[in-house]
Amino acid sequence: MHSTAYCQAVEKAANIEVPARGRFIRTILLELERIQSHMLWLGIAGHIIGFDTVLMQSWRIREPVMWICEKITGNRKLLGMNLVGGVRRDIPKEIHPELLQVMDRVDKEVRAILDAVSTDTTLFMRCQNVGILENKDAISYALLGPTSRASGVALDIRVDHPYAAYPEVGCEVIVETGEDIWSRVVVRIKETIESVREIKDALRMMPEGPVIVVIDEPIEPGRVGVSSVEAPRGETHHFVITGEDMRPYRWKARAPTFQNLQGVPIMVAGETVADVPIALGSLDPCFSCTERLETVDVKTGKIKIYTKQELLQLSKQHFSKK
Amino acid sequence: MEYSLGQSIGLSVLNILLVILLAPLLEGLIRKLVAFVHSRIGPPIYQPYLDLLKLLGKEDIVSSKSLLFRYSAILAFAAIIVTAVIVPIGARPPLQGAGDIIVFIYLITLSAVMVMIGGVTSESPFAFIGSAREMMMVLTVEPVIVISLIAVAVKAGSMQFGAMMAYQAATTPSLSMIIVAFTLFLAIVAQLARLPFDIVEADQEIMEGPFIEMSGPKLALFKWMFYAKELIFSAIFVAIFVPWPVTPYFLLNLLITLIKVVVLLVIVGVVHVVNPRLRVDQAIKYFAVMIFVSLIGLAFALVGS
Repeated sequence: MHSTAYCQAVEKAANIEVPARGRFIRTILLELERIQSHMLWLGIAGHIIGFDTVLMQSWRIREPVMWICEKITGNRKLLGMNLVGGVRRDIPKEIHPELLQVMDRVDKEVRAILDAVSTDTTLFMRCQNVGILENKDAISYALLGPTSRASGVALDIRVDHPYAAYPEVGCEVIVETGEDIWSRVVVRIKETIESVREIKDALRMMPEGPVIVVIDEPIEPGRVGVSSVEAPRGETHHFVITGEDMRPYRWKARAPTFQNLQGVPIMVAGETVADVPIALGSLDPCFSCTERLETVDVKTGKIKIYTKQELLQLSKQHFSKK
Repeated sequence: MEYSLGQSIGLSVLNILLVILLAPLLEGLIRKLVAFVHSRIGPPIYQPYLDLLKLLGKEDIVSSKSLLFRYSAILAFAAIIVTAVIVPIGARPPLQGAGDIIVFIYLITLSAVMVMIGGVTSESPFAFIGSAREMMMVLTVEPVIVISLIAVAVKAGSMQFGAMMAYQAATTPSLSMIIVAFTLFLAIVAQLARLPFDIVEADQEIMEGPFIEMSGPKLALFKWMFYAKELIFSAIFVAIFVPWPVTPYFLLNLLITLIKVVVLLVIVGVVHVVNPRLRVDQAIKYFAVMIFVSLIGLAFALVGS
């Protein structure tokens, strides 16, 4: 997903046209990633409120998706399929029936989970009217992805700024207006069902042809590319300035969690300790995405900003010592 | 029929051994059941024994200088073991002259208070929250147990488990008994810290609450206390609500009781596995309603239906 965003940014900077089949394969892989991410989240959300049955069952559903990813790309997660100009491998014809079969099973089982949790009154007691994030707050704090869509904000990069094969495949924006944790659960489950639909359609509509375009001339330095991808947790933006020797001169990635975390204080205001973990968990937070580095002199409390030259010198010193 | 001294001592020893040695096996059974519903293989059925042995062999690390912290686990465990000799497990209670339902309530409250004190004296903020929750739960769950047992005592005309058991075995179930059986069952689920009332420990929220600083032997004793409670509470439940069939043979009675205990614990396990955890305020509201339901049961018992 980040690799798609990066490659798209470079492709935009260098005006590279990705072949249609490559775009379709990117869409299929992005949606496979969304399915496994949402199933992972559903399990963890269940675990947070002590409902381990949901954890075990949704991870069981997730597992065949990981296996099919491994079959297509060689990796369960972090698929490593994207290259600037297209994708590394084709999805061979022999895998299509198995992929469709896995999707059918996921569809059936996710619908069963939706039915099961929709009738669970104890679950309602924990999730409904808890962790409220009103529509106006979701807009003013610029929250992203399923978190904002559960508060009635129809925001989805796949529709607003279509990329890969989304113009052809289409995408239904799932919006709930409950503004609570329950809505976030429903949005994610329904998105999983929508993802299954998208993968099936993409597989059906996928044209023949090459999956990657050969880039024979070097990419000019100093060109700017910005690209956005709808990640499972919200939108991801990548900004690239191309540099010398076909390397990026600047690269900035923005993941959605840092933005989404700004909504937590509103969600937990006035709630009990028992509701804090699930309110925080309902964002699907990725804490590693929020890490920032700041160097502070402990004695003086002064914050230092390093320049590129200083960083280079520091790393040279570090390696010359070894 | 009174027991002779020899019978009393023999039965007491048997009950204590059952509670200490058999209870972890029942826990293992529940774990296996939960694993089945989770589509897991689950740990071997004797895993709780291994857990206890491992924990008992570990270093005893203390987080506070308080004596109460050191001995709370032993006192909680001892209180439950003493309960074993005044409750019916397959036969009438071994020391029935020594204790009735009032002593029983005192002993289980003592163990709950020890959990609280162990938490408060361990000087961890998570344990403080856990102990506060335990106190709220005890205050709302124990009235349900007391009222339910008193309703049975009113019908049987005696506060002793033996007499209550004999009365129930001789009659058919009545409306009041069905009501209080229901409320007592829910109270047992809460007493055993099973979901949806696994509020005191709540490992995802407050990291096991009062037990966060408990390690090694202390944790083992607290765990063992919960296993023992599982057997004791379910034995009481089956003895006073489903005593049938009563055979003249002691071992057969014991076997039938244990089968019924397993069935009851399977039901508790199913409730555990299909529910998320309630918040403490929701649980308290729930049991506040249950207090009224059990009072209705008591009223029916008083008018004789």
